[in-house]
Amino acid sequence: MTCASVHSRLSEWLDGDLEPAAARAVGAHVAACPACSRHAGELRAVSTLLSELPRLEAAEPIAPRVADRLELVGGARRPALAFLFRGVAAARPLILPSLVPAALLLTVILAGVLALDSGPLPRYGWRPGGGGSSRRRAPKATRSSRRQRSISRASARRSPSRPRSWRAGAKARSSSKRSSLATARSPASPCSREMLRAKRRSSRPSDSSASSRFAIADAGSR
Amino acid sequence: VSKIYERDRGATLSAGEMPLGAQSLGGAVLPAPESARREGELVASCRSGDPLAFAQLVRLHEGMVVTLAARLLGEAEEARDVAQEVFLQVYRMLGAFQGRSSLKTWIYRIAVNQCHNRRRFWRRRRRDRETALDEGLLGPALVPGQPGSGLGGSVRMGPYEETLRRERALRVQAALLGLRFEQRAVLVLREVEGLTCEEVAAALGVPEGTVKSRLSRAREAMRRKLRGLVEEGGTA
Repeated sequence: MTCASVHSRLSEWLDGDLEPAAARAVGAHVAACPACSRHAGELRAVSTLLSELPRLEAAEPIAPRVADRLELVGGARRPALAFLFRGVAAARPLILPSLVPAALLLTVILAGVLALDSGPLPRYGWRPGGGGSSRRRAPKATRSSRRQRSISRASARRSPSRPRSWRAGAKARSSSKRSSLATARSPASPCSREMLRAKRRSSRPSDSSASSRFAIADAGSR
Repeated sequence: VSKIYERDRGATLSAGEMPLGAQSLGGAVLPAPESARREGELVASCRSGDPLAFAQLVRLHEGMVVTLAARLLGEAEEARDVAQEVFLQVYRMLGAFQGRSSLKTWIYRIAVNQCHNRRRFWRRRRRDRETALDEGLLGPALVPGQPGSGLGGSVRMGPYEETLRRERALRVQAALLGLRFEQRAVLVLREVEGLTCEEVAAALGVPEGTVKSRLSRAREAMRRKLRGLVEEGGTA
């Protein structure tokens, strides 16, 4: 047995916690080795010094003080609704006082937001995905733009934006595609008829633009 | 409750009048099963809301809690504050005490946790660096002819011996405060309070093997810190 292995077991040997065989081996080494014997003596002296530390007593009995504090915590000085928060207050004694300013701050912020929000609604509301502020004036609508908008609105009405399921979504997508093609081709819809007419006119070779031709033709028809 | 404690403050209760014998619950007089039975009765009385029983429980354990807290924190006044916190927590949590360990071990566990929390509180405020050695930790001065505290039996001490004892106690306490908290807790519970390794493991909530390894390292560290003192003791 080496001195290093004995040093690592000296504490347990002194406490009598080693197995009998190991204890015998350590004891034999300590008896033969002066360095290990001195080491063991020093550890024993540490134990003696610690056990000689004086035991302390409270300057005055603690029980009455604890009773006073229990009276303070659990007595009649508590507010009436404190029994609702007794568990929380016992676990975190500072949580209730810290919640009061937080609640006040939240109320003030909410009141401020509501006061600011109660003004007149903007004339041109937010357009989803359009960006920009609500106070911006909308551009003056031309006849062609109005027509374009009515077409897009009609197609939006036909195609549901949020399908209920994957299968329903696929069905809705295919049906909306079909219906948009049908609207473009069918002569029943006045918008699509005008579009087809405009397309035909624009396909003719000419130096003027298709839109101006369309506008002139439209004016002429009136 | 306060009236009862006011009466109690006047030390009107003698050992014979107490509902449960304080001396018998100390553990030294009665055999273990009898002591455990009395302890169970005391806990049951406290749970039923008997204030006298709780006062009795506090009186029985306050010395050990104050000593433990003082050795772990290094300040006598702080130790008394912590002891109050410990007994407040004991009062609140007595309903959760299942009796798997002894009441003493359970109270030790609460005390160690409270000391750990207090130490963390100091560290957050960087107060632990300013802690000086507290003279209050040396205990009452032993006058010649008075039984020595912790020295066993009645020891007649002269002024020279008394000065030596106080110096030695200060050095040991300073060395203790130089240890890590986990090692200090193990060493105090084992060497100062005299618990077994099993009881220390129960009080700290760690395996017994961990207690033994921490104890070994703590003793080694103390041996190095108290080189002059232990060399005298080792050769003696």
